[in-house]
Amino acid sequence: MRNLIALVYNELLKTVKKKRVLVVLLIIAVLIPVFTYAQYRTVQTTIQQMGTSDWRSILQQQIIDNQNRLSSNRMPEEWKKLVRLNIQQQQYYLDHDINPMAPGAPTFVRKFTEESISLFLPLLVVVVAADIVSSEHSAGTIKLLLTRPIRRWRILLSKYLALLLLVSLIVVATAILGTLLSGIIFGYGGWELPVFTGFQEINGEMITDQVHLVPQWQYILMSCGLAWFSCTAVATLSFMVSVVVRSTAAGMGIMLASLISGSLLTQAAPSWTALKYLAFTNLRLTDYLSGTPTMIEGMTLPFSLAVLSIWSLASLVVAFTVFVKRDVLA
Amino acid sequence: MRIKGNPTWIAFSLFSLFSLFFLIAGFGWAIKDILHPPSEGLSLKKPRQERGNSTETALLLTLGDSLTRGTGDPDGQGYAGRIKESLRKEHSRISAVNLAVKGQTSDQLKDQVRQPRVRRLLKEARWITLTIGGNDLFQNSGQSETIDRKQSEKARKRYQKNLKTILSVIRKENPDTPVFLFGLYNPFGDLGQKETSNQIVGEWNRTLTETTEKFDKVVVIPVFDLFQLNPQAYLYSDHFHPNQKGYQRMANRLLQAMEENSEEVSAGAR
Repeated sequence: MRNLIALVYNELLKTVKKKRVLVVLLIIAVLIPVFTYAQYRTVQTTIQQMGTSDWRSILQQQIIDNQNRLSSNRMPEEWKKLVRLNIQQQQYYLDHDINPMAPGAPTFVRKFTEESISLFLPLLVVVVAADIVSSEHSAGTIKLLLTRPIRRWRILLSKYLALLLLVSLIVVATAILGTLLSGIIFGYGGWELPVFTGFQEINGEMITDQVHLVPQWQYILMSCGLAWFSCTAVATLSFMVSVVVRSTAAGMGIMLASLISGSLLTQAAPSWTALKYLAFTNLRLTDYLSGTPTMIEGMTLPFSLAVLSIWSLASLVVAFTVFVKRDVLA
Repeated sequence: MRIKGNPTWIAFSLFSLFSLFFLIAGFGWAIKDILHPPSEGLSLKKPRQERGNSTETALLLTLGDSLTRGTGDPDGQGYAGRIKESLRKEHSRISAVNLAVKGQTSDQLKDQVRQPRVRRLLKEARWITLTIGGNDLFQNSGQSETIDRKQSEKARKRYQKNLKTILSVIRKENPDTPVFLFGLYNPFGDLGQKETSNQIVGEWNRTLTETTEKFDKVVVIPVFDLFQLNPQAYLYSDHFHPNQKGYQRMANRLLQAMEENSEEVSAGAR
């Protein structure tokens, strides 16, 4: 056991020394101010256009605008359903006098987590995960590593555990940096703000029986947990690719391409229901928390968790089998 | 391999480990919350009484159908956007809320003005403008070619009743604010059967005027004449909605009526 801890620690150090983690943290630190400013601009433009900063008027206007979008003939039926559910949810917030977008660093982090769970966070994870095994091949250090008197599966396990730790680090760092940096503009208040959760969708109707309020800090904690699960699944798949494909660049390319097509496909063909069995269409776990309707019918939290877990387990089996059996040549 | 013991690295590793546990806890909590939501239901505090901000900003509230939405205007502004810009020159602080929905009929508007949120806006509004009736008229009277007199008559009665309800609700919420109601125009005035269609639109306009006479400070803005002689020039290519020029003409009319009115209002309670 001590042996394994030492191995994991060793792997962690390697990634840090290789500056991969630093790069990822830098990306986060640069992009979050950009997003903060974008958000700030949007809010300012809305206030300017509406001539009021009263969120109730703004929300009411958004509801009407959404209703008007519904009357467009060119809009596909699936989108219309989404918009209709969205209207019902907005109306619910309005009826209960709760501002879903109260300004503040916590609101920013909550929205940012929801937006970044399907693409931004997974991309960062891929950057770290894609080279965790393959870089040993390209640097030639794999031979040194394997000549130690440790079984191969333990070496791979230690790499996997180190990867899980790094994924957690990335998610938490995003939340912390997001809070610190966006708070400069939006202020640090609003942790206790109530947020609705528990919206359910049945046959195109928003069911509000189980809707309840949670304080925003709890909501953020829960979304980060869900984001962590998505990222872990992405990390596991990248890990497998990293074992199988020995070139880091190719591995990263494969992962990026599949991630992006995963998120594009759901929007391009929401009626193609078989898509829901792919791993990368199930990444948006926070949607189940916020009640955002899913594009493809028949997706629930247990379903998405099951799909992600099955893909992850399969990847692990492939990764370990390949790594243990493979001939390592010069 | 002997970098062990460096406190920074150990702190880094421990922090990662801590993050892992933290996130697993959050994950578990989320699963529990989504799959087994707390049963005590939601305890909501009563919506608090909201303070009106009418003293600071003047609210322009626009209601109705696609004409208020601005359908057909390439800028997407419609008359509502133009009015807002003009008013902004005179009043430093002005807010505008456009609650118009494309294709809205008087039935739907009647339901809309009864919503509590809309009532609150009605109360705050300094000006209210609306366009309603076009969809009642042209949907129920059949297509432009075949005008069904009987159907149209039934729709007109219904429209009269709805309009009365709508104006009563507005007046109940806000007895002082001037309400500007646009009249109807005939987009098919240059097609066959124009006598019939003109006659029907005329009847509807009379109904509209008669209904508003019972209410105080409800101003009818006639637009029938604007589109009478040369409909092509002022209608959008769908031959139903006004185009940019058409909306500009409507806005000019409305502004003329508003100017007189705003003096009266400013001399009064406000």
